[in-house]
Amino acid sequence: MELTTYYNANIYGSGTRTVVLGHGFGTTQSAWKEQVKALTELGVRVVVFDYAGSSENTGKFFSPERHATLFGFTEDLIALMRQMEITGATFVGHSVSGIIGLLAANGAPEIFDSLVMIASAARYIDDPDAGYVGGYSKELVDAVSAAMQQDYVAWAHGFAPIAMGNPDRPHLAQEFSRSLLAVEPAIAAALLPTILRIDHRGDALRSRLKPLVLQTAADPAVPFTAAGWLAQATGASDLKIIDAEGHFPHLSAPAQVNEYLVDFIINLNR
Amino acid sequence: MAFAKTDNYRQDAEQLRTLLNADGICYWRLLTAATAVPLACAPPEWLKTGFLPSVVSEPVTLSFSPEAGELLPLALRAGMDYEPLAVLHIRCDNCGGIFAAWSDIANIPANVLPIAEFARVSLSGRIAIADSPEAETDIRLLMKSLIDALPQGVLVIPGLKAPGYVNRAAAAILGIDDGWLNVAQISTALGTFSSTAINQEEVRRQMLPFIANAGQTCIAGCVWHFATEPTSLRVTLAPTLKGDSPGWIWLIDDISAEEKTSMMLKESESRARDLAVQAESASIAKSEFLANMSHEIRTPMNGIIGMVQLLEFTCLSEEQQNCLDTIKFSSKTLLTLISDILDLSKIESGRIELEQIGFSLRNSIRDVINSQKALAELKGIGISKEIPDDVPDKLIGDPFRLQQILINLLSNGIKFTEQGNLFISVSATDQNNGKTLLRFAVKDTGIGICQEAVSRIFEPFSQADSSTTRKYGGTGLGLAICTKLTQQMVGKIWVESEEGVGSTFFVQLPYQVNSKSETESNLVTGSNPAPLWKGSSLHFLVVDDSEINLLVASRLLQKLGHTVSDACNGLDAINKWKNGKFDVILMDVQMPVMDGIEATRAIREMEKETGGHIPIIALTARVLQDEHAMIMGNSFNGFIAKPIKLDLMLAEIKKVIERF
Repeated sequence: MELTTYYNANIYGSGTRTVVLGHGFGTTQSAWKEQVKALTELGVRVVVFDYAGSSENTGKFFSPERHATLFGFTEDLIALMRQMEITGATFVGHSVSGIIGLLAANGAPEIFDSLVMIASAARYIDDPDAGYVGGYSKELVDAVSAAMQQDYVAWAHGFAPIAMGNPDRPHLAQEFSRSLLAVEPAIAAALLPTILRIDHRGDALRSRLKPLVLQTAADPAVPFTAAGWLAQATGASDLKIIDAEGHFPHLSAPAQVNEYLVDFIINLNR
Repeated sequence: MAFAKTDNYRQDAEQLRTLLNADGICYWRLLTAATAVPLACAPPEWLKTGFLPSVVSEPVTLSFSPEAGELLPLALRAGMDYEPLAVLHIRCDNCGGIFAAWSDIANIPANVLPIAEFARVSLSGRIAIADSPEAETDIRLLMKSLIDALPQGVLVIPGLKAPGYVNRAAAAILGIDDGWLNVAQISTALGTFSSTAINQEEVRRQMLPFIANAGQTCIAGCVWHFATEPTSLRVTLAPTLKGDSPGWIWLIDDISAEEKTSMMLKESESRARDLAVQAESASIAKSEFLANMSHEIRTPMNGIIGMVQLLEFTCLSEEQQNCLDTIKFSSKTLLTLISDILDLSKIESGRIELEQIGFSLRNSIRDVINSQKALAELKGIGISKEIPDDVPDKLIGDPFRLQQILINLLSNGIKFTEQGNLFISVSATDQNNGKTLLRFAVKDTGIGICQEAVSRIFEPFSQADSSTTRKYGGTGLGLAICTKLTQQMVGKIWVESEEGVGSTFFVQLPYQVNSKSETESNLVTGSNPAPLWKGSSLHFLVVDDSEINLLVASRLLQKLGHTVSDACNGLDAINKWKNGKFDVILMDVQMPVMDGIEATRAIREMEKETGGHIPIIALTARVLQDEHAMIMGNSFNGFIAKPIKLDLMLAEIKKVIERF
């Protein structure tokens, strides 16, 4: 099993520290372009890959049975890391990938020694009994699921600009919708509802690592309270606000994101 | 200890858990190299998701903490509320396996390894059988042949956990391959296909409940229309639930033929409605035509009948009287016939009013024969009759209709006979209780009728064959009228005929015998002396646009000792009335320039100022009930139908005068 081929793993730069970048739903490793540049300039070895089902090439590795929970992706990540013999690396995960990184760190502690979570949330559906605000209701998630089933293309075109924000830069939304459409409709229609239905609050509370949590000021996918909760639950080293809007700060405000990343990594070695 | 043989993995899991004294058991199998799925667990909720099978070469591995955890799937570990201090990992020949976990190593039984081996072998066998190509093929073949046999298009989308299935009918409609296809292909094909429907708005609207309920609503009976074949599809979408995995079944019916038929039906219906409207307006037009013709024809008839009545006042020789009788009889018959022909609808619906009066059978038959004698003599054909003595003479019924039938049959006989004789006979059967059944026979030595035409000739407008009209003329109505009349009189009519020899027409009618010897109505026979006018002589104004009618009315009134002036239209009438002194006005209704109704209305208006009220009697050829009512409602005092019958006219005048 050549996992590096399956998951399209690529290595850039060289250095003692390895940073693994995990993309979020609807994007692939290409979303990390700016970060790859900044980090390789810093003298870091950067590893990027595509999760199963994120593009045409990795579509066939999507297993509905395994990828019905984030553990499936976590297993894949751990297997890939083990095959690449990566240990003691930093994992940077965007959105759901941040949680995957957290689960991987919990399950196979030798692989990652530090964690950055960008625009992540442990749970998206509100839990009023526990006073948890995730930003979504169960009905809303059901509706999204059905809409994606019915007409994925239409849904993708509608979702892209909302999630991306930054209407003054429409090319961002266009690129996002393009990469959304690269996901097979059936996979996307199963995956996004799966993501929206997660509840890894317990795992967050049991987190072995204290992550850096980055969140934009105006993110339609993640209410600020959820980011705050995550930071608190994981005992985060820091919660930094990125002065930008949208769910993809690494795309819409790469300079700021890079600044925080670089800062974090430098401080690791101390 | 023996494993109970069972197909239910869950029971096995429970049993093994008991045997091994473990906290958790999971039976699992490989789906693909990178995916394993649980078959059954004890406790059942222990592991519900698929996982990446760990690479372990040994068939049985018993491992202790901290490595133990590594053998369990990540998802399992994350969900366990205890630390697994020992884990048994059983691997079945690359097809599946079993996990067992203990939270306390003291619970591990001494014979754990033999038990594990036994479980491993039995599971291997079970999976091997389940996976055998035959088993899978059998089930798949059965399902395939079942679904393919359906004329309905069926698409099965079992969530993502299995390939979807498209049956032949659905594949043909969607233009894709049939068989096992991956879900993405099917979804894409469906999406593309539905987007080509020409009633997009409706399709979206129909799918709304499905979307609103997260795909859990069954949508039934949506109709999608397309520009190309198949043009109409009925679509049903039903959600299915297999475990946690939502799936859908699409059912597609090609209802193009059905829709075409229903559209054709609607078109036929609307055409039928149009035709009905046309037919009705044609029928109305016909009735109006007939009503108009009625007036045109009755006017000269009035002249003939009126003149006959006048002639009767003159001195006539016996020969002349006989001729006059025949003219009277013929004209009365003609009038009846004309009424019937003009009122064809009455005949067609059978609404003919039958008289119930006393009459003489033998006199009636005599008159019938007399009326046709001249014509028969012209052709050199003799007419003879036979009425046996046992046939009663005084009957109660409608003599005119009987004569109408007999005249018809007799004249037909004459028409279709070149040489020989006509023979009329009557026989009486079934006499009892003052009722009798008479059978009339009219026999000729004519051309005869072929067998297959026999039934046809009684239909309206049909003759024995098409050449008949050319050779012999006639409207083809005669026998139809006879048939209708016979039916209405509760009788029977039929024919016996031989081509080249002759025909005999039979009519069988029931009659009541008239026991009263007096009060025989002499309507048909003899001449009527004109009833004299008892009373003072009156000054009449007769208004009619027809000179003949004016002549008839004036002469009749003068004969009775009255004085008469005439006017030819309503305007003329008003002038004459203003300047003259009249006792009675006889006003024709239909006239040019100003008709009788307007003239009467005008006179009544003027009378409001002068006082006085001259009796005005309407003369009209229109004899329909509603017209009668209309006339009376317009300030007429009386009503005389044309052609004028002297006695009726006098009776009406008398009635009207008496009121004054």
